[in-house]
Amino acid sequence: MILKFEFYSMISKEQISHIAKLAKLKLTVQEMDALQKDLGSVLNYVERLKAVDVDNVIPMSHCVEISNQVRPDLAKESNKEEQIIAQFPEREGRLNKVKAVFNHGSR
Amino acid sequence: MDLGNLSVAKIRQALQAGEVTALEVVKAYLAEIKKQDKEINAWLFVDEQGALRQAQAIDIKSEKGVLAGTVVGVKDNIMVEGLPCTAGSKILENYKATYDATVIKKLKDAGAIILGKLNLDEFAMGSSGEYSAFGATKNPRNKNLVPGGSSSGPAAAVAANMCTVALGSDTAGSIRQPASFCGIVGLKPTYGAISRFGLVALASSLDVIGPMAKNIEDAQAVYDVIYGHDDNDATTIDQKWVKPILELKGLNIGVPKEFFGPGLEPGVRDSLERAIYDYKKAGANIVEITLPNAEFGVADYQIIMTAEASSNLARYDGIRYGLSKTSDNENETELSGVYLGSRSAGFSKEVRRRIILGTYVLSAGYYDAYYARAQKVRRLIKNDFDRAFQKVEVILTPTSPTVPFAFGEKLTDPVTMYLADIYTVPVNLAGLPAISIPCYNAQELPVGLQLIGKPFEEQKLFAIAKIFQEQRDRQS
Repeated sequence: MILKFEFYSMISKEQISHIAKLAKLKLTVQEMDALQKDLGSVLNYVERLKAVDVDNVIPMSHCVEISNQVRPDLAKESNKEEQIIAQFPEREGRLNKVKAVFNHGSR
Repeated sequence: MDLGNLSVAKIRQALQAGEVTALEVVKAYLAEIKKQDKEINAWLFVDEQGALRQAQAIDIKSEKGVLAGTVVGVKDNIMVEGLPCTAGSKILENYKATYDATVIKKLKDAGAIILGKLNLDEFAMGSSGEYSAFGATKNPRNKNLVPGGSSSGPAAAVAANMCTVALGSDTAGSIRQPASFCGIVGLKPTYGAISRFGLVALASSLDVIGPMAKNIEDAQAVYDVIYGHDDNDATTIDQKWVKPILELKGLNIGVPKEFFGPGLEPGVRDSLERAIYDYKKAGANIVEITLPNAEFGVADYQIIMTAEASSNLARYDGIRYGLSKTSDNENETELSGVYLGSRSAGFSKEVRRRIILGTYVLSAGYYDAYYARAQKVRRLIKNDFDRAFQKVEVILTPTSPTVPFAFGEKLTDPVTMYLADIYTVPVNLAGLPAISIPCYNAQELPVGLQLIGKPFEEQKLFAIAKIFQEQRDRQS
């Protein structure tokens, strides 16, 4: 709540590390240093948006003002199965083989 | 065969008259690629056998489609069935497209020949081509300079006569800026005019596909084939037909003063002023307009694009396709070790930077300060254009503040690179159509002139652009 109209041009390594974890990216120590500098630079640049008066402005998420585009729900032929299966990194027969979701210890 | 002089119309006429075969046309382009591309590096994959087969099929057909014999290069973030689609990234290095993008299907149906896939900044993130995981592309006009980006390969391939036309994608200027840098024509269509089904998504509220060509007529011929509603892309809508303008007398052309400020290189300014003079002489009224919020475009874009990109790129997880690697971090579960290992090995620096920033601006506590505010500023940028279009039919600006720059020049600080999009990005935020056409050279280097139109008025843009093209060709 209190953060509503505040910007932070500095981003801490702890924050970056937390975000990297959320985004499933592994960063080396050198990368972390470079990233902190680069993100600081970008965040510093976007600070200028603070100067814009946005009171009573409706947010714009899209440029085409259309909604509920629908089409008939019809089943269509597809003959792409083999091509799609061929892309699986690991497979067993026609199945996509996926690693265990939980740690073995927690089973 | 004089490849530099070929056009969509000339190829089709020559095919119909029996003066040339599609097979000969394809072979001529293949020879050009062998001669030049080792140095330029525009192509990531040349489908030699496939293109020869397509050409033979066209030669047998008695009915010639409107694009019969047109040889097309495709940016490698657009799917062509059976061909690789890397998006310029290691994470998709071995990926093969399982279907044709709607635009590709339409091109094939019209008799066009798909020659191969063209280089780009990784996931279309960049303005110089230098962020491709498969090496930078050189500018054919001057090989010490960048070709622009992210459609670096398409612009270079068209400029170097290695294909007739190309397809690019534009999220912030990725068609128009490289077109400007390589001295060719590039159209960014209205958001919703052309299907993106089969385009690797970067920022879905901004991405569009468009043609890149040596002249306006060729770009128009491709546009006329690929536009229109597609059931597979719910953002496409059928458009009204706008009667093209044939003469300029009394037409109001808006020139936004903010686009001619101190950031503009003097050579580019001189070039644009000559073009403005040409339009005036041809009978147009030049009207000074103001787009006060356009200067916030790059900052606004940084937030919106990174937010959308971080969501879109979550799909690359090493599970269903693409690079799959297990992390050696023992604290992870096996599955999340695959996510971490694949994404860390597959995405390079610029892509990670944008994913991290996008995740940050969307995260709890920061959403209102960044993303929600950016969406409001976006509305203000669009309102500026709406206001301007009450007074003018079209808006004229430079495409890029600079002529092509040197390799490495903008790599030290990310913001320097992002500012290359300053004149193009407001157009994406507002969803408008815009075309970049070659203006007068500045010290032997290409300069682009950008014409921005009202939504779905591409035909008007083509017509107004052609008037300048004729004028310029007469003078040079």
